[in-house]
Amino acid sequence: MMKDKNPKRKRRYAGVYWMVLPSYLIYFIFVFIPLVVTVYLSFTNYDLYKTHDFVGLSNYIRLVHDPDFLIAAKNTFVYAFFVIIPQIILGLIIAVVLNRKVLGQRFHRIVFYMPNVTSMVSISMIWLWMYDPTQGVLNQALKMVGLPGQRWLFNPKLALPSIIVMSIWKLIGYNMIIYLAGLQQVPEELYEAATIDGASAVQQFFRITVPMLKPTTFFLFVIACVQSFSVFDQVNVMTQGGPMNATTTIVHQIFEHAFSEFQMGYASSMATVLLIVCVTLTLSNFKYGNQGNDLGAS
Amino acid sequence: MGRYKKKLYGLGIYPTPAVFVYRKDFFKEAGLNPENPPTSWKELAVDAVKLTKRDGKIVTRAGLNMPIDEIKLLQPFGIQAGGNFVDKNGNPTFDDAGYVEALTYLTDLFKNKQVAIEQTKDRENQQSLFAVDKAAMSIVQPTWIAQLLKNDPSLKDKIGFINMKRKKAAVWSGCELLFISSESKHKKESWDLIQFIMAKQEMWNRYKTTKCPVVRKSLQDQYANDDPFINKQLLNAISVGQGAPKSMWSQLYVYKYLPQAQQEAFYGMKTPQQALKDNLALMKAEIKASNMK
Repeated sequence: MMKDKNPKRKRRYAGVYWMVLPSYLIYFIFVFIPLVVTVYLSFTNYDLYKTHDFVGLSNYIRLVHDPDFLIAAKNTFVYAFFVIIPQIILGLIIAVVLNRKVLGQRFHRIVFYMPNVTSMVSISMIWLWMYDPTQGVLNQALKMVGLPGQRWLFNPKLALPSIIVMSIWKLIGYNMIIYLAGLQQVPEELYEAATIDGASAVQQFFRITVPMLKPTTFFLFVIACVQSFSVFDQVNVMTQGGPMNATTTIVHQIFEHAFSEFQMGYASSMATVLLIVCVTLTLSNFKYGNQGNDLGAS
Repeated sequence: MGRYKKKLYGLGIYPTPAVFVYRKDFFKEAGLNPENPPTSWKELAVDAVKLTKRDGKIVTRAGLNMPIDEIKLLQPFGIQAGGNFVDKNGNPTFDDAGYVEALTYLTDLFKNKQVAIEQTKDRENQQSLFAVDKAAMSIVQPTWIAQLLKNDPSLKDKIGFINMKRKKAAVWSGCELLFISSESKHKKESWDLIQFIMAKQEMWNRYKTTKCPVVRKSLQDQYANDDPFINKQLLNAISVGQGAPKSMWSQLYVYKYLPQAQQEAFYGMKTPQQALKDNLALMKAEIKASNMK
């Protein structure tokens, strides 16, 4: 790379570096250093107190034989699969509907977006009451239509789906708002031309809206992947990973091993595996998704 | 830590006894004698069934409160049946005959007789079912009782205490201990601090402000007379109580493997015996893998 010898430009760039320095410092101190330390700890048996011996790959070998971790990994993948796709599809549909001049457009936008600005812990508490087998509104509603009540969070087969439904409900609003922003960038002329050519509304949606929103979808997909694989709050508040590990996730296992059992080294190995999964997924998205910017080539 | 001539010493500062309580008005409502609480496992099972209220298949008031991941019933019942959770070498042993008998009994109440409302320990700690009239009998922390009586003093006449016994009496009662590390550079100052914390007047002041039970024998009569309703029960609970083992693996026992065994039995995934055996094996494997002592 050639050195820039223009002193004026050098001074201007120096200003730019100073401006980005605070965010880089924050990233370096609160993200990069902990990340490096976590990777280092994953090769030790650190117990938050004294023991700090190098144990090589034994934490990683233990991981693949740990039934709880394997269940947590399976639950995390199931959660991610069933949360990512519905939240994106529903977010898109709601955005398209609320992008039109419908009655109470602003009100509906606010209603759908509100859960996103509410903390996950608060929402989990509210849904905990809704799922309550004795007094929860869901069972009351089922009772009103003559159906038997369910043990939503206590039935091992229903507990994870119950958390998934709640998470989708919370995350739709974020997808909707990003899609709404994306929809503003789609040129109106495309729809006008399609209408003149006799394309139906459904055809316009699949042939114009969906392709034109590909970069937005790509962005949402990457964010959703990282968020879904680090699911923790709702699990910890609503089920604590139970019943019988039916809802435990990788981050929940990390928390349990690190702060309940003080096996910081082992927990760090789980965190490192999760980091590798997230980075791999993101890089794959970038490579095979072409960052969503392949419209010009088609 | 805290070792002298190879023995571990610590001074108890904060006992955390759990008490077994029942609602006299619910006993009366169910046609039971409110002044005659159960004293045996058999009586407890019969009363729990009678006290349970349902709306269809959903239990709306538990005869016996049994949080699925809480071991404050299972451990005392296991000890009452002659079981032990630790052997003389300090190794975990919670799959013995006493524990199997206790888990079999509790599983029958939970799974077959369905006397409980499904509840987790976390939610129970946030708000006990007993505190909101949704359980007729329950193990509770004394602070809950104090809070309940503060909110509604008339409840004093409605709450009674259960003292269970089989081969021997036992309840859950943990205790936080004060140690001096053998590597401490300030042993004298540490001892001065411990003497201050354990001093008679300081301990009494602590009880008056935080309701923390006293541990000095010289204060026990004064403590019992200060609030006979609850304090006598707490002293009794402390005298027969056992808490978590003072071992590095105690967290695994209290929060992971024994609750897991209990849930596997409660939900019929395994027999109580198999659930205890499997989880003890898993716990031993984790102790070995994590080099716990």
